[in-house]
Amino acid sequence: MEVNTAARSDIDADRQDGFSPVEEFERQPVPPRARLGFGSFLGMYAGEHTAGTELMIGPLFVAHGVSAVDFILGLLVGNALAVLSWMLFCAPIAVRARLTLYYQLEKICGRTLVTTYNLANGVMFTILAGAMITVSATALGVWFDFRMPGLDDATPTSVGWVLAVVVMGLLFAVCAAYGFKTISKFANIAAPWMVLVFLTFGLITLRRFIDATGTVIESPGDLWAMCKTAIWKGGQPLAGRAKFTFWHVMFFAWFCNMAWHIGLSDLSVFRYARKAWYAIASAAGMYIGHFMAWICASLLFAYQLHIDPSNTDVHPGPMTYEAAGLTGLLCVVIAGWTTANPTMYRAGLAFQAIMPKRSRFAVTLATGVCATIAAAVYPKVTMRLLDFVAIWALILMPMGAVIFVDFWLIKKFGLRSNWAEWSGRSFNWAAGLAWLITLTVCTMLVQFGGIVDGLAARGLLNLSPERMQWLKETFTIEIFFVSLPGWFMTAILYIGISKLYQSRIRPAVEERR
Amino acid sequence: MRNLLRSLGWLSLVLLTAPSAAYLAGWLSLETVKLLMLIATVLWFVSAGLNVKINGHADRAHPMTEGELTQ
Repeated sequence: MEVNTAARSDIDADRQDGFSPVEEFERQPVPPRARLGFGSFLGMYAGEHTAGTELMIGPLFVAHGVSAVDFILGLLVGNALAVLSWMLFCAPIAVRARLTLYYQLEKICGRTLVTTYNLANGVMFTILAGAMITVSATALGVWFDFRMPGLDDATPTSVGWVLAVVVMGLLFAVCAAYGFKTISKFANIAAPWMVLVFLTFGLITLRRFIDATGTVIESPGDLWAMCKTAIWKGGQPLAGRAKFTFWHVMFFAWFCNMAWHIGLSDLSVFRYARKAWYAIASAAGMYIGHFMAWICASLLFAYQLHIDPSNTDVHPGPMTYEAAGLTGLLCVVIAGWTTANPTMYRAGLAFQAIMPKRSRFAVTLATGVCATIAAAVYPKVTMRLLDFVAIWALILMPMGAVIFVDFWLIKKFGLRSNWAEWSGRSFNWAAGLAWLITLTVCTMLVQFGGIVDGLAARGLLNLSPERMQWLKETFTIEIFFVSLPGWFMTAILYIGISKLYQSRIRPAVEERR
Repeated sequence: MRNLLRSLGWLSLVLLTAPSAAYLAGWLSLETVKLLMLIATVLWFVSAGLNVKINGHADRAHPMTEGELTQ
């Protein structure tokens, strides 16, 4: 998952070589002199997608009962689709408009709606930072031997755990508030090391599997057979988890960075690209971080389950310590820290945009404290990280659909693009309603089974059990899949509501002018 | 000095990964691998840290998104 803004500093640094670093081009297109070559993007994406989140995401695939074929093929295809999304959705708009996501959104949606978007983004970043604190705190569990939350624990399981989270979280928060740039520099130094440590987790755990299963590896076929029968065995998922198929893996790999590619957050990055095809550089991040790193992290948990099927706890600290000793523990702490640092900082910036009179230090610190509290009292978010990432994608994706339609299609329907800028209004109701309705409908589709049961319990729906079952199976969409129809829904709604809205508002605006 | 630090950096990354590959091949014990990885880790952070300090690359690090969310 992409969260490490520190790695983006290479691009930023390149920018600084040619002109003043204060020129961020926040409200103007990036000029030709500031544009960057392919290498800058390759380095950025290669570094930023191997983060602390991978240590949780990889194991959770195993918890969802994925099979070897579904896992490997799903990751290959899903990551390819993610790269194509950057290339075909994000970069073409970025190199034409050359504006940040936020300025582009402001022109279309108005400042008030952008503020709402910032708030949603800030909340999600805060929760993610909390998950990273949880990951790092599991490293302390190795030394202090307190009881850590299990896969199904929604609340803290020991005082030691809460203390570890609080210490780790406050340390991260103070660092993010005081020394964001220092930690960013450190993150840049740590990135190549971290990628290789992930690789070593995989190599070491493969050997341990070979020894534990007594497999003789004489050909790639033998290795693949072991993967299918001992590592990613498929079968039933752990209790309370959805069974993952190829489609789950593919959609998760595609959509876990949906906010960035289809959601168009990376407009802010690719506005510096000389050519749109530079977005193929995202493949470096996908196939190092979301392929190699996920596979290696999943091996750690699969081995733990192989040795003790009753041990379903996903604790990166103990798992990596078993495999790589102190280096593994350091990797957990550094991965969590270098991910939480920019995450808290970005969340802080989002909130500061809403409360501009507060200092960035105070807001970042407060954000860090909120993330710490979330991590300490509700570890379930971390244990449900796959679901959380899918929800994040769903929440931010509609704004990408709005920009896409506004940029490419809306004029073909006789409507005006950049409506908020043109009309001088601070809230484009067409975009706001398209966002809200999409989120409501998608949430209802995900929760459809529960809604049907609820209606039946209140006597509002009187159907036979077979009919109820059919209804639930037909209309319920899992959170991992709902963003795709959601994108089309937003696009259609935005055009439809704009037809009504622009025709009513335009005369008033023209009169006023 | 720069070349020395760069070589040391590459060497540490090789020392980080090669033992785990050797362990996969059955040539080293896990305890030895863990020790070598720890040495490689120290070597990497020292060499990369010094490299940044001496050659000034650390000044290149600064958040790209700083101005983006505050608009």
